[in-house]
Amino acid sequence: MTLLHALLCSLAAFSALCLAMERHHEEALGEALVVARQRALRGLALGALAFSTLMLWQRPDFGIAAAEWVAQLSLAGLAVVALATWAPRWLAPVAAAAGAAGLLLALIA
Amino acid sequence: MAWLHTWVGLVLGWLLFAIFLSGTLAFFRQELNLWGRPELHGLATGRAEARLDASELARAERTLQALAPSAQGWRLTLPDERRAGANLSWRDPAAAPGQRGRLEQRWLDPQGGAPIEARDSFGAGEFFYRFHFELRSAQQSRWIQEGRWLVGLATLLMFVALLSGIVTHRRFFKDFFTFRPRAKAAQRAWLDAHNVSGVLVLPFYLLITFSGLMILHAQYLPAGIAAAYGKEAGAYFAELTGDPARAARARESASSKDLKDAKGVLPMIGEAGWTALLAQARAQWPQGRIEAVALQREGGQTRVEIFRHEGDRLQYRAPRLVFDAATGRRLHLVDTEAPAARTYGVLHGLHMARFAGWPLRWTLFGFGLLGSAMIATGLVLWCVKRRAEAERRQAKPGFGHRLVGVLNVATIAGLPLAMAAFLHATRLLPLALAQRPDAELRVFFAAWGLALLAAALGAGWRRLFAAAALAFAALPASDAVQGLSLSGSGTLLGVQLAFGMAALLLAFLAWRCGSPLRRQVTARPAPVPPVAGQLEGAP
Repeated sequence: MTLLHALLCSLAAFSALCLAMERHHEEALGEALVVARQRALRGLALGALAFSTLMLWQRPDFGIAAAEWVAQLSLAGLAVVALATWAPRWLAPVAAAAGAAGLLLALIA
Repeated sequence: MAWLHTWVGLVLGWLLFAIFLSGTLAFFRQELNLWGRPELHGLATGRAEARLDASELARAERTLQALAPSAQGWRLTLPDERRAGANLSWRDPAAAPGQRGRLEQRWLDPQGGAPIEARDSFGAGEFFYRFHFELRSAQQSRWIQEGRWLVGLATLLMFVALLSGIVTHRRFFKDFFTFRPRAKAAQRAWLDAHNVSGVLVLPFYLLITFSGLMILHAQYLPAGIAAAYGKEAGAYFAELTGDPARAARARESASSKDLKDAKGVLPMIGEAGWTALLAQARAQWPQGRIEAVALQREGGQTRVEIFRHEGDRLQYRAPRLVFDAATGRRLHLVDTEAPAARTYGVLHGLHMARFAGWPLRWTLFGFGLLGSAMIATGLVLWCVKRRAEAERRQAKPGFGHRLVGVLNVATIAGLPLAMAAFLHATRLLPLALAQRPDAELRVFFAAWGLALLAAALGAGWRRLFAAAALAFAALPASDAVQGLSLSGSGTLLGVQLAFGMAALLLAFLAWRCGSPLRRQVTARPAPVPPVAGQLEGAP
């Protein structure tokens, strides 16, 4: 459950970071990236990444939880690359859904 | 720095690929071991440790007495979510002085405790594990130390390749999420694949490479230990593991060889004794599981050791409690809190990943495959780059280019084929065969050699990948023919599914590689643009 929550949040975070890059933004949303939006996306990414550690602190063995957290970061990054490569149009919707699911999971757990 | 990355990667790339791929499979060492011994398929995995009771230990003790009255020590490893059936192992007394006795093992049926003898096998997962860090070529190989040195050298150069790769990759952050498999230039697509597989999983590669070096630091860097501890190397390991008996033991074995020959029947602890010992262990680790219980005779003393489960924490090895077998008195807890020793233990633990549950285990397995892909794409890239240059100069590829091409095919496509052949061998070789484990390993190396020969004769990517795909697909098929029932065992079902997925992946690679014949035919009328993701370098 912790791992899933972290993965959903990191997925949203990495997607936002990816969308904050000109080339990927254009491919994913079909419009040019403006500076204000870039800043907002990066801020959002930072927030989501911080939020992904939320359930980490409650775990009995922090070392194991931290190792899992780092591993899921790579997994989320790979998922974003796959989306940006083969389904760029889905990047933003998937990121939004992942972020929402992450929030929901934190609320019910 | 680019030349360093290129040449370090090329020279040991093939060996690194083999180390990485076999290490990746070793994440499922227990599961593969179980799959390779059909005699144990009826035993259940995932027993709650809480049910370990003294009567079971007393029963195991009686079983051992009946099986091997002259054994000088034994170990009972309990089943967990990955291992099926309690494993009872012991070493027979050596036939001649200076030799080590044969390691025997049985599995205990949870109902009734009857010992089950499984086939004589190296262990399907055990071999990948041993090959991964010592290039094991036989059960009693004479080359284990040399193998460890070679793997150490390769690991060091892997570390160099990783660090120089980060420096060489100028667009590290700009291309962080960029993969263009349909790029016009094949080189572009291959470089992207190499970068993406390298950058995103970099924490895993850096950790696994560095910890891999550190695990055997005592072998690779003995000078520091010798300078600080002199001849008392045992004291160093005593501090590292937190085992005070270790230093004493090292002194003892050096001074009094005759004590070792004092042999007799091991004492029986009995159910009442075990109850007291288990209670002490549970008081020591209220949250912990017990992984194994062992009885050891060393010098004049017989000791009981109770091991905490290795998956309970990051730090490796797990702590263990040591008792005097004669009196039941607690001697000491083998564990360390010293910062340096703990750092080493955590690095070791992160490498072994005993703590990893199923989601993390599969994730790490995927990262291992991706690391193998990173090494493979790097090797292919070397060929693609030089082929592009040769075509520009309209020169024929030289001997070196062809050699690298052949070795690439033989390693990247040949190794999976050899692995599948080995897995078949663990199941299909006659059970009465003498030295059966060695025969299994010979099948592995013979299949790999044949793949090299085939590659040298021009078999190419497609054929070898297709052969490997067929070999993997034949594994579940062969199980079905042997009439093995897999119902009720998630582990075995998972292994079967993984074989199926490996077959699909290899078939996909074979399909994408295209037949070299067809490419030549279609290339004659009009030069066809290279298919995206096409593997180059086929001779």
